[in-house]
Parts: sequence; C-alpha cells; structure tokens
Amino acid sequence: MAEDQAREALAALDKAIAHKPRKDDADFAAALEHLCKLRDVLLAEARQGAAPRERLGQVNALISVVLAGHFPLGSVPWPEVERARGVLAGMVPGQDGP
Amino acid sequence: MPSLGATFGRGAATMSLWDLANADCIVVMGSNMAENHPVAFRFVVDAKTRGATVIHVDPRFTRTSALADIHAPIRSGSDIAFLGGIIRHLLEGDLWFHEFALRYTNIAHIIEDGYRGPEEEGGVFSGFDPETGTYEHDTWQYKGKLAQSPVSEHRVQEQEATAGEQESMAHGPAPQDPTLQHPHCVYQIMRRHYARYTPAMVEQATGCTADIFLKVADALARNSGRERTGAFCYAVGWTHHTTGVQIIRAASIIQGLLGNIGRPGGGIMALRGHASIQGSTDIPTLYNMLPTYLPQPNAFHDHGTLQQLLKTETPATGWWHNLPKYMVSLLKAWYGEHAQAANGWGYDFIPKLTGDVSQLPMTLAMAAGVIKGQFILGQNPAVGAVNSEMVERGLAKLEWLVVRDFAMSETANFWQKGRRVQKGETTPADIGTEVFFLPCALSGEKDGTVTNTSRLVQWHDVVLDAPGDSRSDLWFIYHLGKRLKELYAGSTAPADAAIQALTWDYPERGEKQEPDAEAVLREINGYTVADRKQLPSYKQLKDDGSTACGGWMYCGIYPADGRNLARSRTPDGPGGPGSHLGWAFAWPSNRRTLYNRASADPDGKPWSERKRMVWWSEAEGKWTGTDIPDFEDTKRPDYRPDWSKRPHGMDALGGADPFIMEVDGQCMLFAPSGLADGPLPTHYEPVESPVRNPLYPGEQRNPGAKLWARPGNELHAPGDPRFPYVLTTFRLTELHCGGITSRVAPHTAELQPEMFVEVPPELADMLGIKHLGWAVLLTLRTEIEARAMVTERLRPFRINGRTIYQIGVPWVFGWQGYARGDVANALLAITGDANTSIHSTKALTCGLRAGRVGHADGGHG
Repeated sequence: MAEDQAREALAALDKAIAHKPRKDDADFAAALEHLCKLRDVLLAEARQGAAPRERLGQVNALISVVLAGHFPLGSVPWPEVERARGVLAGMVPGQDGP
Repeated sequence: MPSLGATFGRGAATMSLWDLANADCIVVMGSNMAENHPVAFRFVVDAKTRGATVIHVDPRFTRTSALADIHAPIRSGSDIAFLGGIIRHLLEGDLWFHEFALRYTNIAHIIEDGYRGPEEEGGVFSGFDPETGTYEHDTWQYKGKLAQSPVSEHRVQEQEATAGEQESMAHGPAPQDPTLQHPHCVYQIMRRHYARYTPAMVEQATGCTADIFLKVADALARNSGRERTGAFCYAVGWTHHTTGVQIIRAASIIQGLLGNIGRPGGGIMALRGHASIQGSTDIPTLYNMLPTYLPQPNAFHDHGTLQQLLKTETPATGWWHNLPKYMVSLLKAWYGEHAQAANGWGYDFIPKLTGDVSQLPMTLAMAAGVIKGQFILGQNPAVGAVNSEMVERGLAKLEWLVVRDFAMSETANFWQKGRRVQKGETTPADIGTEVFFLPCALSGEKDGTVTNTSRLVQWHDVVLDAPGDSRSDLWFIYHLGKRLKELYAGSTAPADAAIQALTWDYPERGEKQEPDAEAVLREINGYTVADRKQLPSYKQLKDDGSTACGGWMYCGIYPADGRNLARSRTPDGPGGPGSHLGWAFAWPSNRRTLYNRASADPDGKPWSERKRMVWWSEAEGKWTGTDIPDFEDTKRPDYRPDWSKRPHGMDALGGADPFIMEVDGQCMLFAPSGLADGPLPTHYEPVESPVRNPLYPGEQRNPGAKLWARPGNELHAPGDPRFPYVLTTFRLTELHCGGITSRVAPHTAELQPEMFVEVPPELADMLGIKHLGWAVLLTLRTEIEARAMVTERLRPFRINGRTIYQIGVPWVFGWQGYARGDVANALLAITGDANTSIHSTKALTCGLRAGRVGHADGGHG
C-alpha cells in the first residue's frame, strides 16, 4: 500500500518535472494526493508502533517541497523539487535513490 | 502593506487619524469611510469644517459621498487608470512640489540601461519571464547598484540579493540627474509610463467623466506645496484586487510628488482597525513574517544559518542595517537560555518557509486533503472568505476543526447547515470532520491591547468576566502551549527541540489561570537578559544576546516596571500641539507621523509656519517639534556621508534623507526592489472584466496575479456574455465583519435584517427586477439570491462606447443569527494579489436575473 502510493507519487512528480509548469499543476496535485495518502499509511503504522517515524518525517518534508512547487513563493524551486524526487525514488523499490 | 513599505519604508499608515483634521484636501478612495470607519471619519468632517476639500472616488454613492464635495464614480477595478491619470496630470502640468520631490524622492535617480516599461514591452516590464510568470528585478535597479527593499511586510518572496551584493549602496550615492533630462531618470521614465493616461483615457477606462476627473486632480494639486497638504484614505476597496498593492503604490507616488508625506495633514491613511488588523501584522498571524516585520527564513534562500540569513537580508545602508540586533533579541525572547551564540541563538528552531502557505492556497490545499486540522480564532471563513463553498469543501476534508467564537458561527456548523448541505451536494453524514466549538471571551471580558489603524496601541482592561467556560484567546493559546510542552517534554527527537526550548512562563491569575497579558506586553517591549530590566528604546537592543525583545518596533511601550504606556490616556488640551503624545503608544517610539523629518525643508526649517511639525534646533543641536522626530536626534541637516569611508547603516544617510528605513533615505517613486509585479503601477483589468484593457490590449490582467483555476474555482473570460455586470462587495455599518457579533444581537440585526443587492434603475428595468423583489446573482462558482434594492446610488458607466452596469452586495450575511441571507462570498473565485496573495473581492463579473434560486421568478428552490 505504502509502496503503491510512493510509486504513484513518483510517477506524477516525474511528469511535473518533465513539463515544468509555472505553478498549480495537475501533476503536482496528483503527487501531493499520493504523498498525503502515503503519509496517512505511515501515520497509522507509526501509531501502531509498526513503523519507524523517520520515514513519516521524510514524507512530511517531501510534502512541504512538492507543495512549494504547487504553490510557489515566486518561481517553482526546481532544484529542490528534483532533490525531493530523488528522496522519493529511494522509497520505491527498483528506483534509484538520491 | 508592502506598497507603503516599498515606497516609504514601513508597511503602515503614515499619519495619525486625528491629523486628518489638518488636511486641506482629503481623497477617500477604496473605502466607504463614513459607514465603515465612522469614528475615524469625524476627523474628515473636522477638516471639511475647516475648509478642506473632501473627495470620494467610488463606484457607489454612499454616505461618504454625501458628505464629500466631489463624488467621482469609477468602475470597480479601474483605480490605477484613475490614479495614473493624476500622476500624468501632475507631471505634464508641472504641478508637483519640486523642492520636496527633488530632494526627498528618487525622482532624479537613474535606472539601469536595460529597463523597459510596459509601453515598450507590450504591457509588461523588462525582466518578465513568460514561462514562470515572474520578474527578474535586475533592470529595475539604480544604475550600478543593488537597492534592497526595506524589511517590511511580504518582502521575502524571491531572494533580492546574494550575500554582499547590497554593499554597492555603501560605495557611493546612486547616480542622479537633478536636471531631470536623463532619459533613464525616474522622472522621464514616469513621464513615458503615464503619457497615455490622459483625461480621455481615464474616462474611457474608468467611466468617470474627464471633467470630474480633472476636478479631483486639480484639487489635489491646488492643496500641495509649502502651505498646504492633502491626504489619501483607503481601505480594502484598494487592497482586495489582484493589483491591490500597486493601487496603493499609485497613491504613494502622488503623495511623494505633492510633498504630502511626513507633514501635518499629509499622508496615507490605511484604514484598518477592525479587529486589530494593524496589530495582527505587527505581531503577525501572517505566515511569512516574524514579529515586527522581521523576515521569516526561507528554506530555499541563503538562509541556512542565522549568519547567512543576516548576510543576505541586512541592507548595507539605512536603519534596517540594525536587523541583526532585532533578530537576535527576538530569538532570546523566544528561546531564553536555549538561545546561545553557539547554536546561532536558536535559529534552527524557527520553521522555514518553502512555498506560499497563505490563506488562499491553504484553502485549496485543505480541499485537496493536504491539511488535517485547523484552528479558527477570530474569523468566520464560511462567510468572510472568498469562494465559501470551496472553503466548505476544505473544512469537510479535515479530520478535526477547532472554532472559537462567542456564538455559533457558520464555520462551526458548516457540516450541518452549510451551503453545500442546503444545496443537497452533501449531507452531514458524509462529512467526517470532528468539530470542537469552544466559547471565547469578547474584548470587554479580557485584558489586552488593540493596535488601531494609525499604529496606536491602546490597552483595555477586563470589564467583567466571561460567562461559563468562555476563555480569552490568550488563555487558549497559552494553555494549549503548556500542554504541548508537557507532551513533548521527554522527547529526544530533534524536531521537538523547538517546542521544548520555547520560553512559556507567563504568570497566571485567578481560578481560571488567566495568563497575565501585561507580562506578554513586557516581553514584547524587551528587557536586559542579565537583570531583566525593561528597555526604554529599541536603540538599546544588541546582537550579542544581552537583550531580549519580542517585537522591536514596540520597544518603549513598557519602558519600566509598572509603566504600561498603552494605558496612558492624557490628551493634549485646547491649544496644545495636537499630537496627543500622552494618549497610548504609537510605534515606533511613540511617534505619530512617520517620516516627519520631511515636514522640514532640506535645511531643517519648517516648510511653513502653518505646516510645521519637526525642525532642526541649532541652539539645542537636535531635532525638535510637536511630534517625536523620525530621524537621528542629533544628525545635522547638513550632514553628508563620507563615501571614502564606505559608510554603513545610518552613517550612509544624509541629514536631508527623511525616509530612514529605505537604503538611501528617499521616497521610492520608482521601486527598484520589493514588488513582484513591477516598479511602477500599471493599469490592468481585473481578472474578471466585461471590457478589454484599453491601455495594454496584449496584457489584459496583471501577469503576476495569483490564479488557481480548478473545478469549483473557474474564472470568467473577459467579456463573457453570460456575466456582463461588474460586481463589487461591501460591508455595512450595522453588521460587523463576518457578522456573527452583530447578526445574533437583535438590536443591530433589525437595522439590516436581510441580504440585498444594489441595482441601478436602468438595469432593473431592463431585467424586470422590482425594488424589494427577488434577484439571483450568478457566477461560474455558484448562484445566490437577494432582495433587490433598486437605487440611483449606482449609475451606469460608459466604458469605451459601451454601457456597463455595476452592482453591489454586502458580504456580511450568512445562515446564523437574526439577520440572514445568502453568503455573497460564495460567488467569488479564489484569486490573489501578486505580492500579498490577499483575495480579490472588489471587482468581478456576474450574471443577474429576477427571481429566486431554482426558479425564474418563484420561490426558493
């Protein structure tokens, strides 16, 4: 379940990076949606003591960066978004991490 | 108010309310002041009694218009065309105050060769990137310089400088041409920029006839100079546009040209006031500022450490060179012994910005499920926020919602009675949000301060205890904080260190354990760390950890134990100076008129006896007068910086540079930095408009406007025939803001019992709408119904050969209380100003028909 959400989020983020929207973009929205679902899964697991909180912290940070692409202050921070993409890829089996 | 900040140095009204009585001309624009700021309006009436000309520029004829000498009706959203026309009139008629503007503004400064204006660039300024929709500011700079903007509201969107670039301002004065002949001096740039804002163009764009426009422009020009001054008063009728900041900038330019800043009766009165709006930006609830306008660090700027932040954000010259003292003192106030030099004074504890987390995008993020919970204090967004059905969608996605109010509000029971429930789009059973509705104390039931519209901080004591479980907001925040600190006390996670380090030790009183509000004010004022002595002035703040201060601009409000100057209530008597320095405390330094060094000529003498305020006393060797001088006390008027020494801070400002928060002490007619959408105000049409932009056909709307088109937030295309009418929203004297406090009180509710729409008779005839009959207003967001008030207070406009009708609705109604009606804000889209992200409520388009929702002319569907 968590892997599926991470994979979906990564696919959406890759689309956003490919076409570089100026802001408020459907792919960013999709990436956020899946990251938030991933957050919910990790939160539930953490509350049950079934997962470490570090991963949850990472996902929260990813949400902050992707949200900054979706609702930027000024220009979209593409270098940071691409770095976030690397971190997210590290959560998806078979993908290269940062 | 980044407009006032960028132009003059501080984001606040430049004058006190009572000083309006000293004006010779007052323009009220973007405000129905008589009805919405009636207490303040008494000073306008005073001025009129003394012979001042009062002008009201507004689409509607209101009680303010009735008391004015001139009412100039303009189409909503065309303000910059009108004000730009005045700027042109002053420049081309050579009607500006030369001695003032040449010396105290940047009118003679030379701008970079690469600068191009919208006249040359098809409606945008040089530096525009159509891919990102943002501007690079390089070509807007003084030639060979990097002039940072003052550290004021909404400054840090884009990083203005990399560390060290700002040093150019310490190398020598910006290049100038006092003859004003240089093609790239600000004067010549402005002449080219406003050349087409002729009276005929003003009429074409605004609908105001050229003869009325010229009466206004001439009245302003006539009441300028050594002997006379004029003031502008505005409210959210200016700010609530996608060009809101630039509208205020346009008035600021007029005032700079006319010498109407820092002088008796001269200035810009930003009408805030309701619910301590000024206070809520000073000690901010805004996401992008620390208290008293210090920059919130940004994770993506050179702000990784405190040292980096200060290197990047501290201007080399001017008063803001003191930024490090204010930052370190704030961190000491917040983190106490946990703030040490070794840990950058606790800088890592401060959250860093990533994106725009202002209200509008966060409403959309809430609707997208990003946000899990929300606290609502002092607000009723189900009524007061734009696109209120989108707000309801967002609230319905939350896991939890805490609403504190003194009576049931629409925001608290949206899940039960909201518009989406009324329309059958959802049911209470479909909404999972757990709502906690908590009773709060009203202002008379708690101690504290209100900071009014002229920066005046006034203390109020509790009059009677709040009933039952009602508690003050201070109580709620304080005890919530205490519980959070308890919760995280044993944590070893680095992320929890900030809350562990926070000083949170205010004394509690009584059975309810009410925190001592004066203790909070003492902390905001600041104290010495070693012996906890109150500081009398921010000039004593240091960057070595020896002082703590929760808000440097407020320093001096509590200068010694037992001396709360916000309590002070000693007015000047008859024949007194009229500054009322003994009445409460105005930041900074209890100063009533900002930039008042400008009330004297460059030699330090009053411009005239009639308009004297602050002057240089050779005998005393200092500045003196009827107000606290806004200048270094003993800096002589003939002081000039020694550029060979690379002066920094105030040493780089001369004795005739009154705007000390700016990097060169000058009023920025042309803003090289600090604004996202251009160095000069330019007319763009509102995002929704029935007409094309007559000035820049290729650039219909502000290219920097914040837009978020999505299902439920669709925008009307320009000229969409389904939505041919211009709609504006307004408040009412009788119903306060979001309405709850007055809609639940029978005696105020009966004064405005029902939602209505103001419609001009010509349009009513055309659509078959009867006075007091029903009418439906439609947008792509939704439709609402209201009783029709058919009134000549609104007149049809002739815009570019077409008849354009304007209508208006009050936005204060909802489904709670005795006075009820549809929520006007449901009609509006979420769109924001380029600089502030503030919502746009004053100019949009809509459809209108007779009847009720769900029927052509029958009952409610």
